[in-house]
Amino acid sequence: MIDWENLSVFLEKRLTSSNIELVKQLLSSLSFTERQNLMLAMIAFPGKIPFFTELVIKKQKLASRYNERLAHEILELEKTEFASALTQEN
Amino acid sequence: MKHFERLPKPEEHVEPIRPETRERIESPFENFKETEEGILTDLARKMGKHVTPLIASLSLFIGASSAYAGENPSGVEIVERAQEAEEEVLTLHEPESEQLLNTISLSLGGTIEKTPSLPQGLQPEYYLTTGEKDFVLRTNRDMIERATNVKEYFDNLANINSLNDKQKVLALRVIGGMLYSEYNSDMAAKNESVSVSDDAMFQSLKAALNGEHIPGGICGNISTFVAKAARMMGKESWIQDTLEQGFAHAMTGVVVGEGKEKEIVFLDSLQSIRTGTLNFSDAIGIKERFSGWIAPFGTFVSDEKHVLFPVKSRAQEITSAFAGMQHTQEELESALGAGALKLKTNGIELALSPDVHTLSLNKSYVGVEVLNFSDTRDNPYQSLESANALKLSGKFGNERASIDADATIMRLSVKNFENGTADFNEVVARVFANYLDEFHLTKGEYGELRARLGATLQTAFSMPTTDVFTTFNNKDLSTESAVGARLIYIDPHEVGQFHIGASQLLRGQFSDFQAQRYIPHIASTEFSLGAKVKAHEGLIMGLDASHALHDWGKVTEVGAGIGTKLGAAEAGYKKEKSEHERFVPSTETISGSVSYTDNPKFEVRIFGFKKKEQYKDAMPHDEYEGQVQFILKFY
Repeated sequence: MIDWENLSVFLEKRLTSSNIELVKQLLSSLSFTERQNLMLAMIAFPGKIPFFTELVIKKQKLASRYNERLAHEILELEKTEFASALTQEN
Repeated sequence: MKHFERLPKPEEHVEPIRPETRERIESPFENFKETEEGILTDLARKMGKHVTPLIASLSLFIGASSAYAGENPSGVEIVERAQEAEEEVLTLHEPESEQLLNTISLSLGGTIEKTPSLPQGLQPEYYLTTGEKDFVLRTNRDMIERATNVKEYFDNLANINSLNDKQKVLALRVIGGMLYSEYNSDMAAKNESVSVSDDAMFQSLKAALNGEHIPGGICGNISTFVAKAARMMGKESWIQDTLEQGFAHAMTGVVVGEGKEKEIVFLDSLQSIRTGTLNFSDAIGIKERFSGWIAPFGTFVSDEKHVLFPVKSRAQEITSAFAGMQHTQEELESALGAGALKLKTNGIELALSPDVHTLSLNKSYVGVEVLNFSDTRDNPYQSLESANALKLSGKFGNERASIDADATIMRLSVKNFENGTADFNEVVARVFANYLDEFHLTKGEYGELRARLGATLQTAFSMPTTDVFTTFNNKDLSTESAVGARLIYIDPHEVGQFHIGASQLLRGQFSDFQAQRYIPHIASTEFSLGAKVKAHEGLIMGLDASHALHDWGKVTEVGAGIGTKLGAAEAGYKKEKSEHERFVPSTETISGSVSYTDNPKFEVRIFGFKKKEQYKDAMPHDEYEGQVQFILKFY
């Protein structure tokens, strides 16, 4: 089982304390299995943690006040990350 | 142990979503999620069964972020509030990465000190009557003729009672002049520097007296021999390096006279340069005016066996600052304290004082700086009439390793003694490398232990612009590096942080002015400890102390400060106990600073200090400095 302490070591190096709090709250809202999977993903790819928090923040903004420009920006960000991941894997 | 499973339930933290808000936003965001799911579905189709862990993780991140944002749209307010709170409540942890700011900064400041004046009628040489001069020359000749080896010669000098101080200076000038007449041109031509025995130098001196030619040494050998001769005559003496028209050169320094007339005098071949002061920094200023040249990084003093340490004139303080020379060990200690290297800056800085004007423009990793100095106080010991510089700089790296590189072109106007100036251009290239790493050693119920390791390296050289494309011989070189470590303990409730550390400064310098081997020299070892305590949310108190053992003496420093969301106040006391007060003064400095911030847009800082310095045999010198800085910040 992965606990918060295992993950926080990775988060502290990469995120501000307010963003750590955001991750903490997001994880709190998940079921045990979902939480474990997400924590595992962050520990496996700590370099992607800032990307993840950026997504959460942007999407929260989008969800609270929708605008096309931000939606497009988020989708482009996701596509870029996937393209980069595919390149790395190949 | 803090386990995630014990975290509070989400409903305790997440604000309920207002129904009307949900109604307003639900539809477009759901559409967005559908588009996003479409992308993920396409990707899954393309990947087939070859879904890699990274792709799977990214999908998880995208899915989880959308799900959470959809359920918690007002979370953005929570995040914003948390960020605001973070700005208000000071944190004990230094930021892991700096936020890039755009700043406009204006600094106004100045120094108050009593401007020294030259003794009336000061001439480079002491006045002696013709009879006195004849007597000195006869005595000098007699000393050399009566000796068959250097031991006998030095014994003769030690028993010299018939010459007064001023006459001894003439005798030493004559000895220097005679040895320069036997200058070892072969050694100079081959750019070889070797130690020459005292006896060989004496035989060279004797040959000069007899009109023969037995090559002795070059400037380093001659100035060392003259310094020994001065010591035998009962005079305090040393060897001093300098640049003459860009070429490295060595000469002898002596202290002459009694009481109020006591002063530092430099001897170079047949020349003497009276300075009228016992303030060593000021004495170099007179030497610079005499030669019309300034070594930008400082000059070294040496005893008869070893090069000791660098010293700086008032002008060299300006030129080294304009060249961007940093205090390597101080920069390292600062990085060890901050826990991250400062890499990027965006903004405009204008700093004005009566003497120095600086304008800096920085954009991300590059910067341009224009600097100007003019001697508005008409200080006779400030050899610079004016200086103008243009600096281009660049930074590369990340929070753990970085390299600063800059090039500076300086136009220097050096005062002579006829109300004129000698002007020349100097170009300086500098590289400053920084490494910093942090290790989380342990973390548990008893608190957290971290270790930081750091290293800095600064190397720079300068040369007159006329020589940039022709020769590299005329360069002045400066190399320093520092290594250090800091152990940091953070208590389990994160209200207290304590650190203890040590660092060492290595400097590249000549072993001595005869053999001139370039060696690493341990210049300083520093120990530091300190604490920061969060008294309550929004108030942090700090205490720092350090003790450094330099090659010239000891430095003890203590500082205390408080920080609140509205600003900070600090007070410090620094005591430098010099073991070489002839060259480096003992000082006591009291400093204070106050800052007020209307975060995140405006900050004002006020800084001031009072410094008392004491050179050997000199009158104490007081200096006051004040500065106020206004900073506008744009995120």
